[in-house]
Amino acid sequence: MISRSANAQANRIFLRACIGTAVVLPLLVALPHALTIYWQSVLVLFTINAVLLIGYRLITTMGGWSFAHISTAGLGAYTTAILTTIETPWSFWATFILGALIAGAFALLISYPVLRTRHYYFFLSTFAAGEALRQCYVQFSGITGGTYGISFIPRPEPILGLDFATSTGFYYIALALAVLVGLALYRFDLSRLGRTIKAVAANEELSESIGINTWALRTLPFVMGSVVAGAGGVLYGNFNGAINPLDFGTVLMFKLVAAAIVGGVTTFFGPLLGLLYLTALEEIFRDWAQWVPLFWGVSVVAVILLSEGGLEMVAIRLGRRARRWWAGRANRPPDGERTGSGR
Amino acid sequence: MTILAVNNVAKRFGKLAAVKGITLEIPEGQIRALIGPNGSGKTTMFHLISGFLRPTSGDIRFQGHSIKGKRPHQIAKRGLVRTFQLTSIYREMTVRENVTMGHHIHAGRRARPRPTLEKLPRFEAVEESTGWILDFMGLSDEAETTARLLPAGMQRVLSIATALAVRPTLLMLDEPLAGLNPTEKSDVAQKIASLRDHGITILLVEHDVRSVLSVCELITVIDFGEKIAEGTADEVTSNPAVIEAYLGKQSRHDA
Amino acid sequence: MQIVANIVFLSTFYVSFAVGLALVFGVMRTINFAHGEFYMLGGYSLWLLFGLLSGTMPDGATFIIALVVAAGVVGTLGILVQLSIFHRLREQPFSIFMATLGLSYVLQVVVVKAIGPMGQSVPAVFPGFVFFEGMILPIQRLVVFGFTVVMMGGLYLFLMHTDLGRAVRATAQNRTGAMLQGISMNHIALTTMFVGSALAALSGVLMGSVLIISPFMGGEALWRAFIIIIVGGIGSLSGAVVAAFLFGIIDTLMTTFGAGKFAPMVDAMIMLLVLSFLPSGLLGARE
Repeated sequence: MISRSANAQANRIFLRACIGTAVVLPLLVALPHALTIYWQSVLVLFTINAVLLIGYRLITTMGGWSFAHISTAGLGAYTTAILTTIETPWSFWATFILGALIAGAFALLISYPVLRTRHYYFFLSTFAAGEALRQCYVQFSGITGGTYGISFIPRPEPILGLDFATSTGFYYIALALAVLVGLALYRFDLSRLGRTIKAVAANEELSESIGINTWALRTLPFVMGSVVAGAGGVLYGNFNGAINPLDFGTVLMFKLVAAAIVGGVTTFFGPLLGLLYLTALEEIFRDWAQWVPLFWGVSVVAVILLSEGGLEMVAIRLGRRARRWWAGRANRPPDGERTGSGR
Repeated sequence: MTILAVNNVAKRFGKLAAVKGITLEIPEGQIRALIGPNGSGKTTMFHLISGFLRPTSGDIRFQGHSIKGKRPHQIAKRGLVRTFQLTSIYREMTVRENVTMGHHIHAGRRARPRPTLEKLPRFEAVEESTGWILDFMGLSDEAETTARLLPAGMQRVLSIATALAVRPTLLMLDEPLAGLNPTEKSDVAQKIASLRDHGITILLVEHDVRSVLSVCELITVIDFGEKIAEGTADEVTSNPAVIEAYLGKQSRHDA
Repeated sequence: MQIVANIVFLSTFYVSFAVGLALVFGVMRTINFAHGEFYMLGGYSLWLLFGLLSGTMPDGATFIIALVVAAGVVGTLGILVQLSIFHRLREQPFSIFMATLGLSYVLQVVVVKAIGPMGQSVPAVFPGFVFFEGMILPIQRLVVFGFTVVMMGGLYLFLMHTDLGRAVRATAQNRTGAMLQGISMNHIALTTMFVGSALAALSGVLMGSVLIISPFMGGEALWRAFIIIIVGGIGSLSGAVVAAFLFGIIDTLMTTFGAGKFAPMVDAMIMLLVLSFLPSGLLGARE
């Protein structure tokens, strides 16, 4: 049997997202030219975090909130850092692919044991596995530089006349990755496979009993999300020019999870809203940097206690109200817009 | 012809023997009930047959092939599909989405004809098949309702509809009538009978003997992990061992 | 023989740190991420009291006072966490995890701001060494070992021989059953949080007398405690003790034979292997 209408609908939504991206893209390309050097680097880091977060949300669709994501991203960063600073250095672009694959391979290796656990066991076991990996960055100081890490990581060599030595140049790599990964995973999210993964998260027993290979469909997003983490990690390490084990500790992990909670993970854009909010907090309280995780933590608890579904639900409600207002202004019959909120 | 042959299957959890060597043979086209008091091992039997638990010993053959040690989704793909008593729906999906999800193994490729007695119509597209199943199960009016908002009886019917979308030759229903009111009970029982008329063999587990008497052709009674009786409704209800098991359990409950 | 002594010292540290976490997890079915910071606060209690009281009384007395004060203060903090976070977010273990993770940052920042990020240490309360059968045993270590044994003994007596302790154990084994028997969940939760947090603080005082006290000492200890309670079987105290000794042996042997840098990797691999074959841990109950 084939399924026509669901696929056609997914294609329609995806096309709309592509058009939306195409409209916004020139703005995003022009953006760094309007910013100071400081804000350019904030923008680059935001974009890299967005890549990490897009990968993270994919993992959450299978129902597990991993705590190993940032340590895994570290594998990408260390791959690049090591291979581009040895005596016969590799090309950045080769390490980029290799770093992503190594991160994916690590996820595949630990997937069997950690995916046997659910709920809090899952984040406990991923936390322990991730911290152990991070301890390896500290301990294997012969290749990782131990607690001092690796510095003087060279920027990517130019391709097609594009120079990546400046923040603006580097931003275009990050932006390209964010847009490509974002669109690809958005299409994946809409696909039948993406919806089946969410069905497995909603009811694993039932899914298994109707013939869904739940094991495979939990492993797949975990590994795919980790590949994305590895790619994001490569950019992260390379942009900073120096990495050490603390870069891949709980603070950044906490930021990603907090973004996912504050934004919500039901929609694709929810975590990105959360990230925008957390980054804004971070910049507003730049002079009290040590207290920033506290504000993040308070935001998380507030969202958990006060609002259901996070910022994405607020945005959806506002959008609906705006559409109704627009419909009213165009003198349409008022009940025409009601269908979205029902059921 | 025998569709399911369970041969001397046993299951131990540590020191506890939950099932102690049960043998079952179910011919094609039958409605069979597996009954027994709470804790008798009938749910464990269900898990063993559907692959959610692995037998400690014994063999299970479905349509002549051993399915022992196979994963539940592999067993489902062969046409042996089960429901769960309480959790057999996707609560946040609409009724239509539930049944569409049930087509998972058929979607995206041409249906493979399977040698079977099943006489449900065949369709080219998932949407058509979903529409037919919703119609057949009497769920068309609620197709766009979120599943968790349905009354209990409808949810039970939906769980059967979703299982039906997998196109089972043997359908295993976990307490399909429990917790329903009399009208809902007779409604679901009627649906089950009609599935059998379409060539689907049915194995159901029930706690309450009375509610299954009307639907079932043959009843197997188990207690303490052993088969204590097998026969028609009349034979089973007059069997002293069965009466003892139920009354004995009853008095143990009261104590 | 020295190895045996080292194994015992490291294992008792793991035990004293992990048992409180395992107790809280067993009863509350959620993780107190700030457990590491509670331990860190225990260490700082010792350091502060040494600063305040040195010269006014013997060091041994200060040590005892630090144990009592740390257990009381941090135990009360545990009660506050129970009332403000755990109780309000019950049935949402993941949210509690995030909220206590936030709390752990707050505690770290407070200590960094108030005292500074640099590590501190206290002079040995019980200086000197004992030489026995070819082993060199620092007296301080022996005292820490002795107190840990007393602490575990106390916990054992509490859980096995008091009504409250029995209720805590009943809850850890079967929540619904315990509720049906009329055990008050709130009461048990408060007790558990007090005891669990106080254990973390006691462990902090004991280890603070032999290690460097820093704002980040909790985070460094926590992940290994997670590995210990996962391998031991989540919620199982005896499992945590067994696993603590297992990792005490492995880590000591690896350090002794120059493979210390492989220890985190080996520990994690053991955890992953245990999860592969026994998802509920060595002594954990099947869920």
